[in-house]
Amino acid sequence: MGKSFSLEGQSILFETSDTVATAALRAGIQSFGHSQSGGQLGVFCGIGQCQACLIVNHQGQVVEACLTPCVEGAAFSHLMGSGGIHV
Amino acid sequence: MSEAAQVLVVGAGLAGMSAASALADSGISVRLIEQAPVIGGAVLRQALQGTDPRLHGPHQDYGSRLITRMQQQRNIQVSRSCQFGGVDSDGRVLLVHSSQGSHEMLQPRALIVAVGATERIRPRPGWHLPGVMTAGSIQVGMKTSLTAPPGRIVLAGTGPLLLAVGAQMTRMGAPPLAIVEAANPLGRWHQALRLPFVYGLEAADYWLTLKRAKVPIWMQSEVTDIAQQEAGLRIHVNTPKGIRIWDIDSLGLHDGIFPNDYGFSRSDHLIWRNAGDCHEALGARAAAAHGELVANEIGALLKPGSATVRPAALKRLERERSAQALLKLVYQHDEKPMLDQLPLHTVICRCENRTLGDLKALGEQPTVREIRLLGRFAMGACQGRFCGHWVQCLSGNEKKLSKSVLMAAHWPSRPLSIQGLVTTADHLGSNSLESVT
Repeated sequence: MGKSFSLEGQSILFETSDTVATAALRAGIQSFGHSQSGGQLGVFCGIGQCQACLIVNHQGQVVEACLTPCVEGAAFSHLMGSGGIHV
Repeated sequence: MSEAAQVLVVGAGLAGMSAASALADSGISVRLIEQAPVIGGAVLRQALQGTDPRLHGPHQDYGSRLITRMQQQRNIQVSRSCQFGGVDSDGRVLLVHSSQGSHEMLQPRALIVAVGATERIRPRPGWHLPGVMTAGSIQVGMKTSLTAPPGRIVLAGTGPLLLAVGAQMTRMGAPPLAIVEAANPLGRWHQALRLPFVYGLEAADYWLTLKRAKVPIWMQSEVTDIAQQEAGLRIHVNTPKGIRIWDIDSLGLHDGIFPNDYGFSRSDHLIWRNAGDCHEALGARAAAAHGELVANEIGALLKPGSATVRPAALKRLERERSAQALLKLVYQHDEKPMLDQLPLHTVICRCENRTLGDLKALGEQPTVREIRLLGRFAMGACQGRFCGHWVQCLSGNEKKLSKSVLMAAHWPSRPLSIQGLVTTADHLGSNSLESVT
């Protein structure tokens, strides 16, 4: 069994050098839910500029999936998801 | 407030690293921050663990030397996973350690912003769908994770990066289904022959790698529609031989680069320079040279007599400027017809989900206020990076809309937690105000 983290409750396996973005894409997960204004979220620019892959970590910090290394057992949620921001 | 280095360099790519290293050589203390967990920027992005020399192409050797040299310089402090939050009117810089949720204020004497380029992605119907990303994103994903991107992928748009990414994917064992190029660079071979020899060598290497793997390269072709399927995407591609339809998992788009100079409001209280691609988008070879030149300029201001003349860097910058102008000619094509044919349901602002129809509904020649406040264009989390230029082109008011007003800078340039800001303010205390003067 490989190492894994979860995104919006879904378990995702990762390799040592994965970011949350590369691991999610390999697991076939392209959609990261919606933004406050209804825009579809997912990996786009890959270098922290477009803010389309924003997710929320267990501390409630909004982070870019493309800049976030994977950590065994970490739990992330969608921006407007279960543990996300509420407006 | 943190013990201030004399110079803060934002971005540990080629320009930022070469600027930091040149400043340190002059005995100036540098804090170098990088938002990614690893240094290298888009070109030399290091893997989170391990290394694969196939991925950095012709910049591998120079990059490794630069990284090694920088690591030996004691007066450079590098902070990874650290983002630039903005500068206040007193010249205090806010740094965000996003994964820890902590913030930090600095008051350097000079700031070098070296945050590279933004990929220029022309809107197409469906470009907002999950599974559509930039070609650069696919490339950086490979460099960071050292694994091939998954699924059936088509690369589309224009420019040599499509060939570079396609060749890198092929070497990782996952060639793209096809490359769709809007221009006809082969038809301009006589201009291509005037490019520096290393450019030709690099292009030939990519071309041969792709041809050996039998990757079709469609010239003068264009993705005209992207639709979501039950599994994956369906794209329509307009080729000289008619419309082709492909079912794919991901689409990598790229239509050139812009300087990534959005979201910065300047302060008169510190010396400020942009370096590398965020000053002038001239690519990797020029970025390192420009970083050196900017460092030299700042060195002369902070420590008169310390700066050394760098004729080699100046010469390199000039050479790259003319090479990039030539490349532009080689890849020249008219994109106006493609913009004119965009259907009204095409999303223009991905952040706020605003369409071409929403833009047209603002009337003929809308003002900046109408575009921003009524239309909600260039107002999203990306600060107008990905829609601003196209809003200018498509609004019918291109000449009157200044980019700097349309994409007016407001800081903080990142989502910040109120908790973190409060803690930072507590740290500042009352003494910090005295240190401003």
